[in-house]
Amino acid sequence: MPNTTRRLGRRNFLRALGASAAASAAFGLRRRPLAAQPAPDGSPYFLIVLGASGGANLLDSLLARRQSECPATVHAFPDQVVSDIAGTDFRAVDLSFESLGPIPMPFEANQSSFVNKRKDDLMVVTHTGTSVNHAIAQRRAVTGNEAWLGRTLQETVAATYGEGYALPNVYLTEQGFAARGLDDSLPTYAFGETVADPLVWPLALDGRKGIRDAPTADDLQKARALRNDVLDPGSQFEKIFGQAQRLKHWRHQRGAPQAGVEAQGLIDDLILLDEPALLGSYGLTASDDLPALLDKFPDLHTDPFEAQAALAFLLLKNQVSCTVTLAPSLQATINDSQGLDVRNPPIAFDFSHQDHPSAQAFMWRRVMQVADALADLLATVPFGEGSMWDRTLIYFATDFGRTKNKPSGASSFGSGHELNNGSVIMSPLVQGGKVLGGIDDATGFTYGFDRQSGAPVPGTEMSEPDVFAGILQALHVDTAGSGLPDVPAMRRG
Amino acid sequence: MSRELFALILLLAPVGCGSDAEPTDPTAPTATPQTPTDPPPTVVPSFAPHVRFKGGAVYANDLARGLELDRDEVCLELGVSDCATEVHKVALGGVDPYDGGVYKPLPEAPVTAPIALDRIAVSACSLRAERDFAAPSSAAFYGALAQGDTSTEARGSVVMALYDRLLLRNPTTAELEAVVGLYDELDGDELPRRWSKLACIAIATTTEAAFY
Repeated sequence: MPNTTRRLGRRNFLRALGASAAASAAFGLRRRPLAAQPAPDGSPYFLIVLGASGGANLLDSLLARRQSECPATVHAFPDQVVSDIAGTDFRAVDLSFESLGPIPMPFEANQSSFVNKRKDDLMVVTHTGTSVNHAIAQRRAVTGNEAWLGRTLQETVAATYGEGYALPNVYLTEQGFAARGLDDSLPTYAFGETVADPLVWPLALDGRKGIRDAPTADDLQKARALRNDVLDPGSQFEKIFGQAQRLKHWRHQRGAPQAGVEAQGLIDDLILLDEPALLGSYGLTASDDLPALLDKFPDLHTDPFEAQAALAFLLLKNQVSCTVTLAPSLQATINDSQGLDVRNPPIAFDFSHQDHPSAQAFMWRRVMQVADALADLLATVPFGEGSMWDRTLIYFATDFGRTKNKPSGASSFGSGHELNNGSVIMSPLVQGGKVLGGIDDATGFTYGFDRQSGAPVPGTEMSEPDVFAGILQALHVDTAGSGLPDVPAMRRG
Repeated sequence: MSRELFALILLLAPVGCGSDAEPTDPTAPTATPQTPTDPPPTVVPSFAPHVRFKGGAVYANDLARGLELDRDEVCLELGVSDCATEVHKVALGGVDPYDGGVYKPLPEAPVTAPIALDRIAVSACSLRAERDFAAPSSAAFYGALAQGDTSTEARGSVVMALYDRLLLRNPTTAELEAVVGLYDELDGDELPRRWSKLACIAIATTTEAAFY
């Protein structure tokens, strides 16, 4: 895993912006209908894949164990720091640490406030994965181990609900959670658009806005029409090489997809840069939602994960996308402007190799904060008779769990990769307050559940296709004929 | 106007490249051809058509050379950051391992790729035109138009130069007539300046300009 250090303010663009401010005070055809179990009113549902990169261990959050319940060699916490969440099967851990592994930075990680606030929308689904390789496991977390022709959750949701959206499926991370699926029968718009940097990516959503002395939109369209309709079709280059896949794809992208993006005028809706004078001098404005976003994500200009989350919200709110994927970086994010302030440890959850308890606590806090803020923001956006949050599902996708054992009595230790774990799902569409399956206190291993009732079934294990199917079904995606199991225990109502 | 007459006019027209600046790249064209070159009547398509995208950096370099601009001024988003190698680097086939965690080029061009390419061309072509119209006597391409000569011959000469500099070949007669004719589709003010930008953009964003 790469572990290069990433420092806040690292981007040349932002550095240059800072300097500037100081000086001047971005069709295919559907093969078959997917929705035999359609959304009740025909309108879309939204999927947020929140990648908990590196192995988010459920024994360190909603399935935490007390030391009094487990053998001394099984990872558990002092009894007093583990809370039961009333009316649910959940637990939460509130901890403070003097350091983040070898990083001498004290921090606190409070889970109980988040779990109490979101308990009615939270659900834990136990399962056992099939790979302890990060990239492979991440891919399987979104394909259900290639459960449905190799398509991903995001592609399936985009294929079901994304027609008419400018960019139905956006990947704000380039990790395995953003893998391209294998089902080429899906419409082209279902495949993801990658955003490398949320702060500047919106500038690629219009061919001319924000460029000084640029032609008018009408004039530019005339130049494009000349190019597309006369120059390219007539060129010897195209006559010889025109059937090349890359050229065909390029011509497709600059056709209806490009027109769809530009027609929505997205550039001004999605800009997150807080430089009004500079933007104004280029005829641009920041998103009207920037103040609200800064309230929820105060470090969005310096923390890439917060920037991803902010743009994810805007993409959903502005009906640009119906599924977004984000994940904390695998690189360290360090704010060195005010002492040692690590926002993201190197390799994210996988920093557990160094020190499991502190790394897990720190990273769970990080993903919980982002999920909570996204839910708060989406709850403010009217949609139908409710809000967007009412139709959204956040899937805390992770690679795998972590090893369950520790040196007897140790409070600080490193952990390895473990197939057995589970997933956290947060949505008004799922069985809130439930742990589907259970955990064996003697080993720390989770076990499965009855797909119909959700009742725990010790001695069994759920698999990646179960989670994959349950998420899609909760989002009212028709899975009939797919070969996927029916998992009614995962959906509400 | 017949093609023959059109070509004759071009033969007789003065060279439209009035720049004092000489191309510094020895592989760059040094003289503007004066006649279109038509392809053979039959072109056989490749049975194995493999092409590659130039990528942002190479594309911008080619634009800079072709339009006689400094590389650093081809396209700067918000005036501060290079379009090709920084802001739109990943969309245009680059990688961003240290900041964005993008270790491999995207497998396919995203929707934003052709838009980003357009932005680079729009920026560079607009700059070239504005500069030439501000100082016609030292103009690289648009000197005659900037001085009021909007004749078919003057426009044809510009198109010949643009093809020579951007695609390293002569336009065909059809291409020449089409780009020159764009002028007549425009309404309103500042037609020479506007046409100058659009002609450049149309040629600079062809697939031939972006792939090899």
